[in-house]
Amino acid sequence: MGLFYRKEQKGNPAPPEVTPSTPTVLTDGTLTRIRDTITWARESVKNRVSFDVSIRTEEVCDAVEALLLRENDLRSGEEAYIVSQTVLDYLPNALMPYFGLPRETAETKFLSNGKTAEHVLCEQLDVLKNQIEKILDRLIQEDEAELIANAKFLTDRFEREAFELPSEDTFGIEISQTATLWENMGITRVETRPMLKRRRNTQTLHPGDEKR
Amino acid sequence: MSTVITKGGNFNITRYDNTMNNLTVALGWADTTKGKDQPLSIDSSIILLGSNEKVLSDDHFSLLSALNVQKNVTAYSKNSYRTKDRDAVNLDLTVIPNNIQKILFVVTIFDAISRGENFSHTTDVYIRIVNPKTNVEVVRYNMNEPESTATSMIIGELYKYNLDWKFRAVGQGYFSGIAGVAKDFGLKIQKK
Repeated sequence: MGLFYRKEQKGNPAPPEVTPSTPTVLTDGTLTRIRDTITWARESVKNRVSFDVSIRTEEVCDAVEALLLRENDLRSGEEAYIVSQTVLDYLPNALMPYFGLPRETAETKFLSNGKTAEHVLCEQLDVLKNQIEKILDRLIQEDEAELIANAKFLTDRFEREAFELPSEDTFGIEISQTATLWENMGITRVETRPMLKRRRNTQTLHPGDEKR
Repeated sequence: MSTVITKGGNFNITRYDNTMNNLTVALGWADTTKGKDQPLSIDSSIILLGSNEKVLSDDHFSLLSALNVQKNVTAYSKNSYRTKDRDAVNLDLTVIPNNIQKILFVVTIFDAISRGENFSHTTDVYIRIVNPKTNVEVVRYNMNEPESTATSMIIGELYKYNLDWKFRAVGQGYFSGIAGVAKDFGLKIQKK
């Protein structure tokens, strides 16, 4: 890839400076650098590269951002290292050489491997996206397992120990159908008007009262 | 003069007045959550049990508010607004089927768990029996010490004893709401 790398070319700002490291946990500092690099990648491809490159770069960025929402669930160690390396190292090193090429050359000139630079970059971006999505898939599987376990717990608990109180509406509908049965059994409700609910110091005016 | 009984005590209504074929059972309470966004809401319900101490069928359970309103006017119904009674039910003892041996009166705090409420948020919970014709109180049970964390309470019960009808002050709390009461008496409240 170094073949295409032209650091000084105008219009291609360098990615955020990265200190090579192999973090075993995603520290706040590392997370900030990852977010900065994602922002840089999105801005760098905007209106400057082919649709194929643009969409793949966006997909890598989307996958990383989805993963960052679950940063607390990322396993420290290998997965943290993969995320960090993918964004801070592999992604800039894939994009920067491409940016150094005239767009027409990148899209039309065949390299020794029979592929255009654009084609090579797209393959690299697909690999990076798949790498990130593998981690996402692992987290989703864990979510599903947790969801199923929780559902089982709730089912076991409530089916074994408790009845659920039907809603007021359910009560109303069911009971009203049996209200006549209860009346036939000699049981009826008596209207009560609790003192606490009564309006005080009010008078009912009847037609003509105001004339008296 | 009304008789006031304590928890566990009973009162023979038939011996008190064997011509009193109609009873009004009234329930009351005071809410100590005044000023909160949602005032305390309590449902009164009634459960009819057979001789085996189990509910006769799911139709033998009802909220008092769901019953038909008494049609004939009585001295009690004319004056009920003067009382602190929240709910009241009239029972015609001559019509109640013979297979009903016990009638439970239950008060339940609505949506207690999600609202974090229980009977410690109430005061002056009572049940009383009134002669509807005369509006004279016959017997009363004031639940002075409600079980603070209970969310449902069997406050009292009417039951047959030989040929007599008697009233007992129960005051038994349940922490699992009406579900606990239902479970104890074989009521199959439908599951959601």
